[in-house]
Amino acid sequence: MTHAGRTADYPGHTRGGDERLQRVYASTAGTGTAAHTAAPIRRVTTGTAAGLLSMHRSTLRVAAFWLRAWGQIYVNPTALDIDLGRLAPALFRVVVIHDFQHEDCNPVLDECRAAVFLARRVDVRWEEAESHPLECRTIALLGYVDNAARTILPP
Amino acid sequence: MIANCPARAFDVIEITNEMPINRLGGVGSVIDGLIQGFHALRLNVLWFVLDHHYSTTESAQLLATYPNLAIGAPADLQRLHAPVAHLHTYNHDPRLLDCLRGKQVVLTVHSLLQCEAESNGVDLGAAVARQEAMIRGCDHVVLVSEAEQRHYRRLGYTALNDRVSVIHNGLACRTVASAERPPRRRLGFCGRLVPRKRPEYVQMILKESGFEDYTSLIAGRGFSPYSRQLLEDPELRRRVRYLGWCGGARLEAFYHAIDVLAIPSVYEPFGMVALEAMARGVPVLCTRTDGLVEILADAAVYADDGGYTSFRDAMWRWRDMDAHACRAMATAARARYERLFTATSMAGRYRALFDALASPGPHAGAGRPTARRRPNTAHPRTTRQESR
Repeated sequence: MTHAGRTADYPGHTRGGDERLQRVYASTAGTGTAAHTAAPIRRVTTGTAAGLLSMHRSTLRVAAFWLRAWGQIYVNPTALDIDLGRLAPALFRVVVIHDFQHEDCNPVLDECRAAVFLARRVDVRWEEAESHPLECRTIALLGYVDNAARTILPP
Repeated sequence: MIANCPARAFDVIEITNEMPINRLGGVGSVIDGLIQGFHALRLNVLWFVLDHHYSTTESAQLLATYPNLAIGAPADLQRLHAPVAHLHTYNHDPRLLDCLRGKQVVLTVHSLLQCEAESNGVDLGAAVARQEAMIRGCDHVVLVSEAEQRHYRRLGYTALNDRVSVIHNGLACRTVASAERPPRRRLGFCGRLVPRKRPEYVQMILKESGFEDYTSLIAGRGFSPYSRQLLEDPELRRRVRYLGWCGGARLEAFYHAIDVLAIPSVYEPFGMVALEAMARGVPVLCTRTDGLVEILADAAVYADDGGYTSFRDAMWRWRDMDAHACRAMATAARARYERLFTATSMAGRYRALFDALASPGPHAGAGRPTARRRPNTAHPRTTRQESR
């Protein structure tokens, strides 16, 4: 359920992911029905989104959510499971992003397709989703994941 | 190869990396038009998808949705028969041409990557070289506007391949244009959020006098640090809504929600979004450049150049138009779409080209070597310098 984004938004650019998976872009788009549809979608704001993360062994789960921000609603319709075993043993920042990569056919213009980006700290700064070829906009911080200790830290 | 039909012989094989589901860009819309148009003309077409980005679920959806569809690798094409193979992609390895021996190969260049590089200020060197090799190696090149053909000549590409036709794109629009569009005070932008399309203009205009009660809807992909920087202004953040990459019902909702579509591009080989707006009766304001002028003729409000000042002046002119004049302009644009740019008219032009290439007449053979030229991946800088 996790995959890396495209390299650039110009025609002719070759696609490819991050080989070492130092960052992750996770979305339910294009995957069909996901396995975790039973749980209700949680309605949150940017201030209350932190409780969406949970850890199950080596899997980080981001609950399905409906997040209101900036006059729009960002929807992740099913839970996302991210295999932390594929990531470097480092600290990651977990952010909700507006997914610009997949075609959205929802006629309700106030609702937007959400995805999740795990950023690493490089020198003194956190990676920014917009700076990577993911075609997305940062919406809200969900928290941090220490992948060495396998723990979730609050924002 | 996975295919949903048993046949191995067709009138034409359409080779693409993008279908109308989860499109990458405008090519998916052109393919949608060709599917409708060729169906209307009863052409026996195989849609061959390769080098694609589709998930397993989406691939299954493609196979269930579109008859005569195959998903495979270049070598699979050697087992398929058709007098003509028609290429649409940006990503093909020129060695693909080796798998198309015995077929006339038509390459539609949906945009010249050298022009993309120049207008966006980016280095697309490898992709440009790949496109040039494909141009050199195919039998016939199709460009999507006369303006694009001028760029083709300027770049010295006639030395690569001088067998060139211009075929304008067409659109399969299932929406009936509404005669009355109540004002909503919303401006629209639709397209990739890249520098050459100037998506920032529909945000900047909101700060101008006369637009205080307007908002902007931006449909497109490629949100960047620059876009985020623009939205640091709290007022713009409140008045600009990014909708993401819109397709299907969302695209319809977008066109229904806006008063005018702004296309401030500095380079636009054709301008599918202009055609989408024309077909739906949405007024268009755009730069007087390239394919946009060919599509819209007099049925648009034009900015004289790609600068913001010209765009702002054009926006003021649009705002000052009375409702009747604006509606008349949109009606004229819709009529122009119906007359010249439908899916069927595009398909008809392609069929005429395919027929000419497949038949051993003077058009097909004139000046063409008996064996296809081998693709040469060398960048034709020398050619360009010579042409100057």
